[in-house]
Amino acid sequence: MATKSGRTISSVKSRSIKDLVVRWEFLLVLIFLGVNVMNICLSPNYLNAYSLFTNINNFLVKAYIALPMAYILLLGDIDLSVGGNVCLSATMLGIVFNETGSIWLGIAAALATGTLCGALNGLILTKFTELAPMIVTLATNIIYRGLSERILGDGATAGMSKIDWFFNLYYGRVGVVPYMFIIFCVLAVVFGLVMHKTVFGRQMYAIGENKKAAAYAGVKVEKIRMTVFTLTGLVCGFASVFYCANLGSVKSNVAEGFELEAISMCVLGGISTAGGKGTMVGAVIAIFIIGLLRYGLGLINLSGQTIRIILGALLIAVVLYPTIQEAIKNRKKAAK
Amino acid sequence: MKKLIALLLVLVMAVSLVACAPAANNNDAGKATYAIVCKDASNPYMARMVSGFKDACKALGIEAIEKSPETTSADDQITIINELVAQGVKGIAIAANDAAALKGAIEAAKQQGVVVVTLDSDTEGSQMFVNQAGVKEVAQVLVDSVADMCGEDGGEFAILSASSTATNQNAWIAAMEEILKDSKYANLKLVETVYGDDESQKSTDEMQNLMTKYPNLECVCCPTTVGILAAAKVVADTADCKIKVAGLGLPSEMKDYVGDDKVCPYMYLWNPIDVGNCAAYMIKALADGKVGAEGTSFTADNTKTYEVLKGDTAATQIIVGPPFAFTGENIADWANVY
Repeated sequence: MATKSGRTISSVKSRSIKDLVVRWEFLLVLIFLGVNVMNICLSPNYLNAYSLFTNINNFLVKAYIALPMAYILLLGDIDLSVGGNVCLSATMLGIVFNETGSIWLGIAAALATGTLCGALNGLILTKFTELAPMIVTLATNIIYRGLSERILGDGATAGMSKIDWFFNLYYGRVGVVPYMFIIFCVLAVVFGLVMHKTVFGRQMYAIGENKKAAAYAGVKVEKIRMTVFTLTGLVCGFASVFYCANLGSVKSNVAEGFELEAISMCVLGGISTAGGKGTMVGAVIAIFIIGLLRYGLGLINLSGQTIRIILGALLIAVVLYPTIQEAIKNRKKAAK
Repeated sequence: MKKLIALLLVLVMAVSLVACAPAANNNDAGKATYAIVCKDASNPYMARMVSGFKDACKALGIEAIEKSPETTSADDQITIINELVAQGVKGIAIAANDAAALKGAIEAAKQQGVVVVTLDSDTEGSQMFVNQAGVKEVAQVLVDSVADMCGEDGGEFAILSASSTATNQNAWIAAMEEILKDSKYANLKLVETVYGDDESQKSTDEMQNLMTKYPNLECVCCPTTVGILAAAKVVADTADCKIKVAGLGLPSEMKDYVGDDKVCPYMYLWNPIDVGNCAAYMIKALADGKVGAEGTSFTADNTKTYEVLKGDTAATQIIVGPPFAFTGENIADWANVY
């Protein structure tokens, strides 16, 4: 049933095969398969499980951050400070470890720093609701990275890779499967369940759809936004621990551009930056589309710059898809 | 209809991507592949090194791949090492952007039987560092040129380096500081060391900051080719600027600035083509088991004999050659070479 404005007001979701095919996730699965087929054709070495997981590990740190980023976008917000947050958390990990010699204290410091940074974003945005999240988090991103530059100067911290178990957080494996991958799977399932199966999740959708309406319906909008921003901070701290395990040293230019990577993963996954739309399944498939496409193109030795261009083009093509679809539909209607 | 459009779009995308990509390299054709990993893309010094590396590989009948990271941070180089291992290359020569962070990836590569050497800039885990010139020799010529350019009465000078974690520049600067402790150089004052990250724009900004901050600055020493070019340009473009520029530079880029009455009276460098060339022969020698322990010498396939020395960061190192001086007289000839 369609009204004059063209919007469907039917509350019953139709479950026809046609709907399934045009669903975003189905399109993503097709692209995912396409990318894999292409990679297999391009390089005979692609299917080596050991190497495949080594290279999946490479983008998992960013993938961790993409999970809470999905929540943020769902709310209709945006967080551009995650790169700076990871950088500052990693810096604190390195500094505390170098000062005290205890990696546990370092990890605690990273988690605390990440959470605090996230909470600060949340605090500013919920106390001053008129401020645009894009501007606020752009500013805090600069602040967090700037703090890291102040603390480290031009130097770097080092020595973390000498602790075996810490080093193994990134490099350790069960069989060929890295710990990081298992942790990602667990996190993705938890984040997905919370998003789709809990009251909290439904409230997030409601806020993203219409903030005012949600507030009138009794949803504690600002409390939920605060929680989600703080959670994002915590995940940044968590991700920074693995990042440090990988690098073994921290410099103030680490994690540059993570925010855009995480956002592209979510947007490709069908999570609208306008809020209220998208699924976790889509985001997870998109994470692997971007990661594996990058890996496949790297395997045939395209330069990093070329890979960026291709990823950018893919993002635009996919995001434009619903618009094109709509246009074709309208033209058909007009023809009638 | 929608189904069709969806499928069609995906297919077109997949096909066009495949079409854009160059043909896959056939490692299993029996030809071994060596790869060289640069510090960054679009660095002319690195480009010369790569050309030397490729020439040597060609002479050895080996396929050569060149890879440059998107940014100068270490994790991009880690990604590249992992990709190369996945492709089944037999040897990797890498100019490291970080002295420690690549260790995990390099150890993993070595476990897969890949020979890993460093060139230009060293890192932990590397089997052999192909050192362009001894650290002390480089530091000595740099300090001497600063002393010469500041004049008898000495004065203030600054260092404009590459990235703050670049192993080679840091080693030279540390050695320079050591040399400066000598009473002979007591009237030279190092006011600050700044980092241009081997980016033109950042190096230019840092140079301008230095000039504003230290009005009595007499000399700037740049142990990096990107830095010296930026510094020379800034000084040359500033009216009545008496600052002299010393350091390591590419003749072809610096030819307009080098000369007795110019911004940079003379500068030093070695031949980056030789460094890249040597790295390829070194991988081959290591793969063939020709290289002995520290203190021994061996002859590589390029018929040159090298002495194996103790490495500072890598396990062992060899030194390609002493730094060479470019002056107003010879710069024009060398500018055509590299």
